[in-house]
Amino acid sequence: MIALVVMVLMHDRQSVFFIILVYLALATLVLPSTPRFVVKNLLAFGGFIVFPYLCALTFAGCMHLLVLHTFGWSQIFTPQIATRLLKIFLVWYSLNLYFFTTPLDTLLSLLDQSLRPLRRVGVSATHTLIILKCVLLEIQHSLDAFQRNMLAQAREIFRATEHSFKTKLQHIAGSIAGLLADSLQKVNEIQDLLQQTRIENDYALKITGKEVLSILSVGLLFCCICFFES
Amino acid sequence: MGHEALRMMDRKKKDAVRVILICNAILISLLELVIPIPIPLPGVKLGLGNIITLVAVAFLQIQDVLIIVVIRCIVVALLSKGVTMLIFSLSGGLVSAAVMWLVYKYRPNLLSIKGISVIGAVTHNITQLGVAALILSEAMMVYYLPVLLITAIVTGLITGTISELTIAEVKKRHILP
Repeated sequence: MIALVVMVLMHDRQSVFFIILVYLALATLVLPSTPRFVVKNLLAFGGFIVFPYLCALTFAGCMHLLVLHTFGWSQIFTPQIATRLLKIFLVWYSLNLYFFTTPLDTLLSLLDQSLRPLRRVGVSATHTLIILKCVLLEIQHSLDAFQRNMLAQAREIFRATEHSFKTKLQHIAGSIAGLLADSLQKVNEIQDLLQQTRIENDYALKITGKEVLSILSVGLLFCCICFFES
Repeated sequence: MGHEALRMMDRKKKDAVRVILICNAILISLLELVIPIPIPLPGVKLGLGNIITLVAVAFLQIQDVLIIVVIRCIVVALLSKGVTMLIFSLSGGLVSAAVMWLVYKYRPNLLSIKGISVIGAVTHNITQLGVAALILSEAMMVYYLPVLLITAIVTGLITGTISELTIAEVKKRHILP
């Protein structure tokens, strides 16, 4: 993943990006990812980067039109900007693909080991990661009940036509306060969960068949890029 | 219980309260599937998770508020498998939480919870836009600011209204320390 990100950041040629894009498409097919993951990534990138950027571009064009009386897209949307957007997408997608296909316990263990030097300055990453793991466990535990009760209740509230928007918000606020009150009854239970939760301390760089294959594929990608560059 | 009582609370209990508040923040954000957004734009969210940030601002100390925001953002990124979004959610969340806490703590009579929520939403959006401008190395992103400011005011008012009512309920029922 790191090699891929470095490759994306080091090049500026669109042909290289195309090769990396093909590599990522193949990796998406080979790795246990889902079409939903790909669509979600495209939508998130579109919603958080491309859409605001295009809006900003349009407004800038309008300002250009007002001040200089010309609407020059070519002066605003340059090939460099297109390349930069593509570069950001490739880095974005590579990182998400890595995190999507890595088990959560491995990620937490990796984070714990990487953040261990912080102990020297008095910050215990393990303690924070235990809270994080407890949150993940507790969410899985209470999600069903939340969907069955509160979400269904909220759906009913917003479906009703006889109440004003403010009344609906009041109902929601009451439900949220109720949710808080109910969940705070479980303080002792959560304290026990915190005591029992451990972060696996067995993260090690293992060289299995999969790792060898992925290293070889990145090597192959690097050779392809060098070939096209020359 | 006020700030003083919370300071007295032992570490394990404090951690348990943090876990509960973070879980609730994440669960409450699911209500966004139900509540209609008045300005439906790509990337614009109501940010209902901020209700818990505001509850935390009203009852807890700054370090607790920031820890809740950090862990909430990381958990959401891990659950939604969109880790690259973390840079946006974390920067916006931390800056807005700090600003809301400062306004609530040092200018308590200046703004209502609704006003503080709007300030938080505006700060959140400005920070995220700043991060996007940095990533794109493009100052032109500033042109998108008016759109974000309008959406921040609307979404801030909605979450502020719910937060104000929730905080009143929490105080009435003595739910939080």
